[in-house]
Parts: sequence; structure tokens; C-alpha cells
Amino acid sequence: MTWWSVVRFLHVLGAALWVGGQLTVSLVVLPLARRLLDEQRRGQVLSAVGRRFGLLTVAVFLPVQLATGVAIAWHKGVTWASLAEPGYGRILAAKLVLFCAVMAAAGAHGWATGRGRPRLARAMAVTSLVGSLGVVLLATALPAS
Amino acid sequence: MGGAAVALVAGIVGGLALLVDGIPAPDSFIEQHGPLMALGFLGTLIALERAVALRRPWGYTAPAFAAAGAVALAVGAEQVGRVALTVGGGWLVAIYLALLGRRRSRETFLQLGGALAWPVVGVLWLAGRPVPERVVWFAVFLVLTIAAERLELAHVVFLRPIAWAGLLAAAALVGAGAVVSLLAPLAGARMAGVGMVVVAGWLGFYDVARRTVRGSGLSRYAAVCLLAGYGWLAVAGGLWAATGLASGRYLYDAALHALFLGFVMSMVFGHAPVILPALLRVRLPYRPVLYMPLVALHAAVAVRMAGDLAAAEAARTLGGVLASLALLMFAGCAIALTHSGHDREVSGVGPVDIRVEKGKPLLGAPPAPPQRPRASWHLRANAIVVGWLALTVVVALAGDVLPAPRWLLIHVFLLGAVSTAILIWSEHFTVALLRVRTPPQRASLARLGLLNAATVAVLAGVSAGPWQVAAVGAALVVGVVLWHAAVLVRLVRQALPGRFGHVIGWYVAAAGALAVGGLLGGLLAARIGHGAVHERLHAAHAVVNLFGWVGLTVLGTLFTLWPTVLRTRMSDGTRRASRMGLRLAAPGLAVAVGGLLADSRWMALAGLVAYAAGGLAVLAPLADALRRRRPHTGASWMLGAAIVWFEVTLAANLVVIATRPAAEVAAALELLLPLVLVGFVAQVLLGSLLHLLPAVLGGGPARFKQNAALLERGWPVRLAALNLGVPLLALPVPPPVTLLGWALVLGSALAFVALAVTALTRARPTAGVEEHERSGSGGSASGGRTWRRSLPAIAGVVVGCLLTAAAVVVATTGGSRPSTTVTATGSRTVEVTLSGMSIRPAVIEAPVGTALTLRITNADAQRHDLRLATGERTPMLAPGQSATLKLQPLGQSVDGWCTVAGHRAAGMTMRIIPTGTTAAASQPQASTGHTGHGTNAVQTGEPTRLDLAAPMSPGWKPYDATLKPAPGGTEHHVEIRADDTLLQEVAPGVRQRVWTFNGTLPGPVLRGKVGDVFVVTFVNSGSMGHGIDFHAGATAPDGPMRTIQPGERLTYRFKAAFAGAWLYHCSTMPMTQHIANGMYGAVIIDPPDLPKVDREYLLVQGELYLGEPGADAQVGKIRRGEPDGWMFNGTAAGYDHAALQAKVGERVRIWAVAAGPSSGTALHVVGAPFDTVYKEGAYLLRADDPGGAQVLDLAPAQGGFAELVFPEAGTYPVVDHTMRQAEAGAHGLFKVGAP
Repeated sequence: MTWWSVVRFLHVLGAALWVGGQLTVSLVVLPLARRLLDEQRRGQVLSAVGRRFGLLTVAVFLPVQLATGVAIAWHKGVTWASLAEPGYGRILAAKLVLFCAVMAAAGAHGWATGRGRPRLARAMAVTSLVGSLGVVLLATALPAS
Repeated sequence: MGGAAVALVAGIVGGLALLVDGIPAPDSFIEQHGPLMALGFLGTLIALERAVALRRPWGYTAPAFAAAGAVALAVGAEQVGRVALTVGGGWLVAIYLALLGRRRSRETFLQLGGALAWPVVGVLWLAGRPVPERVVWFAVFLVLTIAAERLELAHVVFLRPIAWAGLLAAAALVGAGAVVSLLAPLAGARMAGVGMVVVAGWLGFYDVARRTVRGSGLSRYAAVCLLAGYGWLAVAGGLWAATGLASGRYLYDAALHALFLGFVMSMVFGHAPVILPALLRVRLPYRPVLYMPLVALHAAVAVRMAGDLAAAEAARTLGGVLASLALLMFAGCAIALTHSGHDREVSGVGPVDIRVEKGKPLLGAPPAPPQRPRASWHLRANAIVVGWLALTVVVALAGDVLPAPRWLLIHVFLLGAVSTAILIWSEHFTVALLRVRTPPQRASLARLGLLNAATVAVLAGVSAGPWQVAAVGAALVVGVVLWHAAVLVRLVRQALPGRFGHVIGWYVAAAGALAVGGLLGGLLAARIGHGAVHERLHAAHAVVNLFGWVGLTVLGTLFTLWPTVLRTRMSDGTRRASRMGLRLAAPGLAVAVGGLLADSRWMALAGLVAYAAGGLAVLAPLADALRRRRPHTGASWMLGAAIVWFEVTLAANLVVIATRPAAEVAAALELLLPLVLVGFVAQVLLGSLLHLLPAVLGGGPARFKQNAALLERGWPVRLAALNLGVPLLALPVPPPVTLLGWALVLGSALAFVALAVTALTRARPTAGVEEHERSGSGGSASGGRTWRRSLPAIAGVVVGCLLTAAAVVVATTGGSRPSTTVTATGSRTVEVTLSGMSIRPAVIEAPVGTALTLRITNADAQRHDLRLATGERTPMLAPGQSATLKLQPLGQSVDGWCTVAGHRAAGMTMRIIPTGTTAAASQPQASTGHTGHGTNAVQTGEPTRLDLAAPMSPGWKPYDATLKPAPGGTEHHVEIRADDTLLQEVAPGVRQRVWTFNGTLPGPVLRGKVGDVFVVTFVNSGSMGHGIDFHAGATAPDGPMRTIQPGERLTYRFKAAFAGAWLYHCSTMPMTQHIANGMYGAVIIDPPDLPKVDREYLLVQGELYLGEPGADAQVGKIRRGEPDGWMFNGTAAGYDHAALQAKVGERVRIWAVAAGPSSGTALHVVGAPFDTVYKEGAYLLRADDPGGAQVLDLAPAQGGFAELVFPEAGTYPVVDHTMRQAEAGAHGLFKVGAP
């Protein structure tokens, strides 16, 4: 149990909260809101939820993930060159690229919601959700050593 | 209840600990896993339920005792637990007696019978009998109790006495099995197993579940649980009956858990919503989520069964973990539902109501669920066709990744999509045209299901092996299609004579064609016929399926479909044209197929010409319709184009058959395949679906138009793309252009699949909408809206998955490749020969870094290719063709194989192994994984120690050493066939490819008198040159001993001028290999006045060289004369496992021939000297001589006999006294019995 465990813990916790949060909103909040709330209140609640989640993402989640992620990579001795090598480097690179794509989708979701394009917003939200599951998949595929 | 919970948890933990090492669990949990689950948990539950039913305080003593016993067991007080549980069981019997006193009913009797088993178990247990003996009693307890309980619920339904008697008999059988098991455990378990199968069948047949499963909600859920449970009961019973609960971890485990997990737990799941309320006075409202644990449970049991039957520890463990997960999920669901049951009231169904509903009251039954509309099952069935089409696209895209890609592509499409479509539509059209009642839908669905199962079997069997699966699949296809034809014929018989009856004849003829085609396919899959025969079978198979099954069906359908698509009336001459066409086409096809099989080109041509004439006759009314109305829809254009392609193919096929011998037809037809498959078949399929789908989807005129418009979207482009693509695929154009053709064709197909799926998914909400409309609300738009609403989500899922997939691809590519730093250190060219279902050499060894060049020659009489795991591949090579592959510098082991369907499984594999690197490379694993026949053949130079004491495989039959007397007459006619593909067990548990005469090792024995004439017809059915050399004859070797090629024959006539035991063997060089691989046998010419003896045996001794015949390693051993073993009559130590018989005082004559090739024999019988020895034409010793002999010594290729009389009863080894050879297999036993 070293400080590095704490860093890894934070990284994993952040990912769990973010992916879990998305799943909760999509699978629990959204269907219930559809069933229980009328059109107007649903809009209010959902946009509030979305705003709060976005705020948390930008304010807490992203900084924590980036900081801990970079730290872990440094600890592992990852260099730019090693990202291209098959194995750990390649998987990590793919994971980063996918993570960027997910962030882009999440951003697009926020933008589309603001512009009143609900269909695009929904597609982007689901893209982001599925993509973040992919990030988790790749994270678990990283060799442990 | 608490006790039951403790038992459940302890039992589950114990069970898990049994499966997974390292789970911390008290010993008592593990040891008492069975009793805890069966008595502690289930027994307590049952006792509690009965006590509630009794409604007397004293009744609760039974569950109390049981629960206390369970807790005691769990904490480790085993003796206390045993006593308490036994008492609980006795008490339960008392409860039943009390219940019986209240009301005599047969269920209670049955339950009493079950309950009696419990105290019996207890007593056995107290007496210290082992678990396997008690298991049968556990089973009696649970099976009878549950069966009786089902009877109680079902008894509202009127039961005839005979049915009741059936159940009673079955139950009695189970009980009797338990009683018998006390004395004879095996027989008892088998008996109980049979009883369980009968009980399962009875319950499956009489239980209301069979009806309520069509209901909805809780009753449906419960019925699913019950039916699935009965299925497992039957499986368990079958296993018990088959294995008799024999020891051995896996089968025993399977037999137990199919019953206790599959059956009993499924019952618990099904009844919990009914029983829990009665027990605990809490409601367990039904929710669909309850299906989750149910599915998990059955998946778990299935995985576990599979793991047990395949002896795969990991699968078994997975099944166990999954099962405990399922139980926990169910517990979780139950708790969650009982506590949150009030947030949404479920239409006031109390427990009592549920009982009534399950009991299926006769009066006032709830209204039956609305029958799905008639079109609906066609709709659903077509989803299968669309699914196969999509799979076809996938297979086409996957390409070389798959084994046998070409074959798969063709068969996924034709056997999957097209055959399913034909089955559905020809029946549908028959019904519609004849105006008869639809045949029973269940039977139709059964046929469809069987066909699809058979298709899957064929696809799996051929591409992955074993071939038996494929053969069974083919047989099933034939069976289904004959059944289909029978149904059509019956429909025609039922119908009034009408205008369209003639069409059905086409369908029936088509079905007959598939029956023939399927049969041929099965023969191909079973690899019956070799070389040219194989090619002819292949050609006949292709022609009869394409022109028969597909062609005839389509032609028949066009009579009605074509005018319908054109929206015009049928022309007047249709009926006559149809009659004439069929009379020409069907017999013509039969003649053509016969001609192809019989290798008669002109017969095939004549048949096909007749078929073509029939096809032209059909065209007449079609052209007539065309004159009346120009094609104006996508469907009509597609059909028209398809007909054109059909005629083109037919003409091309005529040319092919006219210009080539039958054996080459299949190869030439291959070029036409794209025309037929894509141009004709696919286009007809797409065209008809285009026309028919909107009609089938139904939903009123507006909906029809909408669907039609959707499906026809962009049809001119699709039509053009498809028909442009077809010739590009067929013509010999450069690869990029072919790729373009594929893109065009697949794009067009994909577009249709996408549109069709859209239309189909749109249709589903419509069913709901229709209900809404019926009840007066709603509008047709809402269906579309649901679809629209979920569109963004689906798009999101797709995009997300694509992104993830791309990332995974990026992450994994290059990960497993060796570092690309292998530098070329040299180069070498290796000749590789493909023949006789093998690749020679099977193993190529080269230093790391060698740039290998393979020159591949197909020396077989049928087509092969070679594909390496690194991606290099040869084109399909016709017999005699060659190709060259240049490989990258060698880094890792590379596998190679032939991609023709089934050939890899048959052993056409090779491996290139880098040497001088790692330990792994110096001990290469033989490619046994690919041979698929359980071959243990070791293909490398590693000296392998044979385990001669191991048992022979089941089904092994010893070569009969008994020598039969010479047949009468002075001229003997024999046919001897050389074969080099057989696999034979050459040592205990070791199967290996051998080369044989007449399929046996050694070959057939020829016996006669001095002066007899032998006329031997020698046929080469192998895949390489062979010859034959009879030492017993005197002839110039040039003619009769010459090597003949596969398929050739020669006559070898010799006169046996001299007596003796003679060798015959293959005369083709290198003879070491031909003899070492098994091509030898004996000719026995009796000396004049040979006395009659009581028994005569013949032992032909030969050497055994393990490994693929012809591989470098094996050839090396043969050259150095280092056999892996020695064999008497083709099996090392075979007669140790199947001793030769004799009786005291009998005179036994042992003939012996040493086949070699390199070593002779010193034949000796331990414990019994010889009194007569005859060697190489002369007696060395006669019975009346004073001396004796201990050994009959024979140099390679010598022969003789020795006689002896066994002095007393016992077991006498017969050995080659060259002890090294005896210990490596030249060893057998004489079992000598008392006279």
C-alpha cells in the first residue's frame, strides 16, 4: 500500500463514478422521468441533471482523471514512443484516443442539448455511454505488469 | 425458514468450494453439500409447506427438526444433524398420514411415497452408507413429492385412470430403483433413471403448463419454469439410465446436477410465487425480471452439463458459479419484489387466484390470448431468411478468416437462406393456390426448425468437424424435405381440382431433387469416394441442387408469381406449358445427374438438354405475359433479370458438360457459381421478397403502400449494381475489379436487408397499434413514432460500438505478432505434395530466419489448396497443378492447411517449425488438434513410449488370428484393394494412419494347397502409386509387380508351386515405407498331408513407426530401423487385451510370418515348448521326434509354423523372444481353459 495505490484508487473511482453516473441516468433516471413526469417537468429535471453531471465532469472528473492518468503513465515509464509499441503502449494509446472520442461525444451532447436538437443529443449521449464502456474494456485489457 | 436459509447458504458455499479451489469454507459445508441442499433446504421447505397445509401446531415440528438438523450439519455437529434430519423426515411421514386421514387422495399417497424416502435416507446415512447410495433416495423423495404436487395442481383437469396408472407406474419404477439400489447400486440407478424419464414425459404431456405457457405473466413464467424443469428431469433420467450413476467425477456430477439443479431448482423457481405467500404470508408479485434468474439457472446447468460431458473443468466451474449466482439472483428478486410489491398493483391476483389460473379451470377461463394474425408466422419465418442473408454478407466479408470460406459462403446462402425461403414459400403458395386449409402450423414450424438445425449441423460439421455431425445434418435435411414433399402431396390430394394444381408438381419434384442432393452432399461430407469419384459426386450434387431444388421451385413459382408481379392475368397456355415443362425437366434432371455419377458425358448432356427444353417450355407463357404488360416495378425487373441469368447459366452449363469429362465438371461449374448464386438465386429471392413482403406485413392499404415504397426505394440503382456486379464476379478480371464486383453485389444486398429489417421492425409495433385501434384509441402513426424515438439511441449504440471496435482493433493489432526483426539468414525451397488427405511433408523444420519457398504440387485426383496461418495461400489447384509460395523469414511456428471443406479435419494440415530457438520449437506439438479423429499420432522424431497396458479404445476389434482352412477348388479368385487413408488403432489408445490391403492390417490371408492357382485382381484405391508382390508365386516381376496409379487395376496370376508360409507386400519404392506403414499380408500354402489340428492361428509380425506416413520424422525412423513398437497382426500388444483361446490337451498350430521391414522374430510361447516346427518349406522337428523346440526363428519375410499342446489351464504369453521387441508390443496371451 503506497501512495501509488491511492492515485490508482482515485483514477478507478473517477472512472466508476463517471461511467456509473451515465448508466444510472440512462437506465434509471431517464425511463422513470419519462413515465412519471409530464413533458415540461421532465425537461426541467433532465436538463438540471444534465447540467449538474456536465459540471461535475468538467470540474472534478476530467481534472482528476487527467492528473492521475498522467501520473500513472509516468510511473509506468510510458513515453510517446512507447505508445506505438504493440502491447501495453498500443492498448493505452487506443484507450486514450477512444477517451477523447467519448469526451467529444459528451461535448456534442451538451452542445446539441443547448441548441434544442434532442435527437442528436440523445444519439451522442448513448455514443458517449457505449464508448466509455469501451474505455473500461480497454483499461481492463492493459497488462497488469 | 431461517434453518432453510442457513442450509441454502451453507450448501451453496460448500458447492462452490467443491468447484473452486481456494474459497474459504468450513469443511462441514463442503462435506455436507448434498444433504444440506436436498434435505436441509428443500426438505425444510417441503415440510414447512405441508405443515401449513395441515394447520396443526404439531405439524410444525417436522420443519423445525429439519431446520435444526440443517443448522447442526452446517456448524459441524454431524451426528446431531443426521438424527434431527431423520426425525424430521419421520415426522413428515406422520403429517402425510394425518393429511390422508383427513382426505384420501391419490396425490397424497404419492407424496407419502416420496416422503418415506426421507427417513430411509436418514437411516442409511446413520448406518454410514456412502453418498452415491443415498442419492437415489434423495431423488425418490424430491421427484415423487414434486410430481404429486403437480398432480394436485393439475387435478382439476379430468384425468383418465389410464393416465393416472401411467404416473403411478413411473413413480413405482423410481421407487423400485431406489430399493434395488440397496442391493445392486448400478441396476437400481438405471431403473430409477428410466422411471424419471417416464415421469418427465408424463408431466410434460399432462401438465397444464403445456397450455398455460401460451398465456402471459405469472402463469406463463411458471409454465416455462415447469417445462424447462421437466426437460432437465428427462435429461437427468437419461443420464442415470445410461450411466447407472457410475463413479467418475464428471458423469456422476452431470447426472446429479441435471436433477437437483436443473429439475428441482427450476421447480422451486416456478412455485415460489405461489408457495411463498402461503408460507410467509407475504406476496411475491410477478415481474418479468424473474426470468433473469431462471435464464441464468438454465444457462448454468447447461454449461455445467456441457463441461461435465466434455470433461472441461473450467466450464463445469463456470456452470457452478453461474448457478449459485442464479440462486442468489432469485433470492434477491424475491426479497426486492416482496418488499416493493405495492408500488404498482398487479391487477389483484392473489395467491389463490394464481392457483386457479394454473389449474386451468374448465369454466370461466380467462379469454385466450388473441391469436396472432395468420400472416404473422410467415413474417416471423421470413426473419430467418433475412437473418441468413445477413449472415451471408458477413461470411462474404469475413472471407479468408473462416475455414473453407468458399464452401461456407455458398452453403450459408443456399442451404441457409434459400432453402428456408423455399420451404416457407412453397408451402404457402401451395395453400394459397389450392385454396386448402393451412396444414398444422406446429408441424410447419417443426420442419423449419429442423431444417435450420440441420443446416447449422452441416455448416458446423463440415467447416469445423467432425464429419459425422455434417452427415447427420445432411440426413436431417433429406428427412425434412421428404416430409415437406409428403405434406404438399397430401394437400394436393385434399384439394378440389383447380387451375393451379400443376404448380405443386414442380415443388414436389424440387423437394425430391434436394433429397437426392442432400444425400450426395452427405456422401461428400462423409468423404465416401475419392479422387475422381469425389469430383463426380460433387458435380452431381451441385447440379441437382441448383437446377433441381432451386431451379424447379423457381420455375414452378414463376407461373403465378410472374403475372402477379406484372399485375396482369395468367396466360391461357400456362397449364399445358407447365405440364410439358415438368415432364421434360424433371426426368431430364434425373438423367443428367445419373450421367454425371456414371461418368457418361453424353447421358448427362442429353438429360440437361431435356431439362433446358423444359425450361424453354416454361418461358412461353411468361413471355406471353410480358407482351401484355411491360415490367414496371423493381420486383418485376429483378425477376426478369434473374430469368435471363438462369438461361445464361443453363447454356453455359450445357457447354461445360458437352466439353469436359464428368470429373472436371465441378471445377468448371465453380466459375458459373456467381452467375447462379447472385444473378439467379439471390435476385429471385430479393425480387420475390420485394414483391411479397409488403403483402405479408399487411396492415391495410395505406401501410401496404408505405412498406412497398420503403422497400422499393432506389430500386433501379440496386438492380443495376447487382447485375453489373455479377459478370465482374464470374469473369476472369484482375482482383481489384472482382472486389468492385463484390462491393456492388454486397452493397445492393445490404441495402435490401437494411430496408427489409426496417420494414419488419416497423411492423411489430403495428400489431400493438391494431389492438389500440380495435379498442377505439390510438392512431397508426404511433408505431412509427416508437420506432423513430428509439432511432437516436440505436444510432448512438452503433456509433459507440464502432468506435470501441476500432479502438480494440488498434489496440490488438500487432500485439501478438512476433517482433518483425527476424532477419533473413538463408533460404530454402521445399517441395510440398498434396495428396490423399494429407500434406507431405507434414512438418517442415528450418532454422529461424530462413526464407522458405514452398513449391506445392497437387498430386491428388481432386482439387486442393494450401493456406498458411500467416495469410499466404495458393489458388485452388487442379490435379497435377503446382504453385509457389514465398514466405517471410521464419520467426514462429506456422500452421498450414487445405481450405477445401472438411479437408483440414481429415488431416490435411502441416506445420513449419523454426529450429534452434526455444524449447517449444524442439518439442513441436503434432497437429493432432486439427485431425479431428482423436488421433494420437505423434508426428515428430521424439521417441514415444507406448503405454501397452492402457486399455484399447472402446469399439476396437482385434484382427482375428484364427486361420481358416483352405477353401475348396484349385483356383482362387481374390480382389485386393490398396488404400492409404485409413486410421487404425495400432497400440492401446494410439490411432494412426496406415496403408493397407483391403482395409486390414495385415492384409487378407490367402490359403490353398500346393498347385493351386491364385488370380488376384489388384486395385489401387489409394492416393499414390502401389504395387503387389507375392512371394508364393514364380513370375517375372516386370508386369504383375509393377506400380499402378490410383484408380488403376491389374491382374496378378500365380501358381503356388511350393508349400510354406509366404509374405506378400507392396512392391512400390520406397518399400521400407510401404511395408512399414502396413502393406503386407500372408499366403499360406499347406504342405501335402498336413495333419488336422484342433486350432490354427496366424501371427504376422510387423514393425510400428508412429507418425504421419511419409513425414520426415517417420521416414527417418524407418531408415534408421528404429521402430516405436512391434505388432502381432497390426496391433502392439493387441492380444494382451483380447487373448487367444485354447483348451488343455488341444493341439494348436501357430503360423507365423515376419513382415519386417527390418527385423525378424524369435517366436516363443512361455511355458509350452513346441513339438513340431516347420520353417521355410521344411520340417525342422516333427511331433514324433524325441527333441523339442523353444523358438521359431524367422528372418524378415520368412514364414513357418510351430505346434504345441498346452499342458494345463492358465495364461501363456506368446512373445518375440527378442525381448526388446516383446516389451515394445510383440506380445500376446493364450488363455488356456480346462478341456
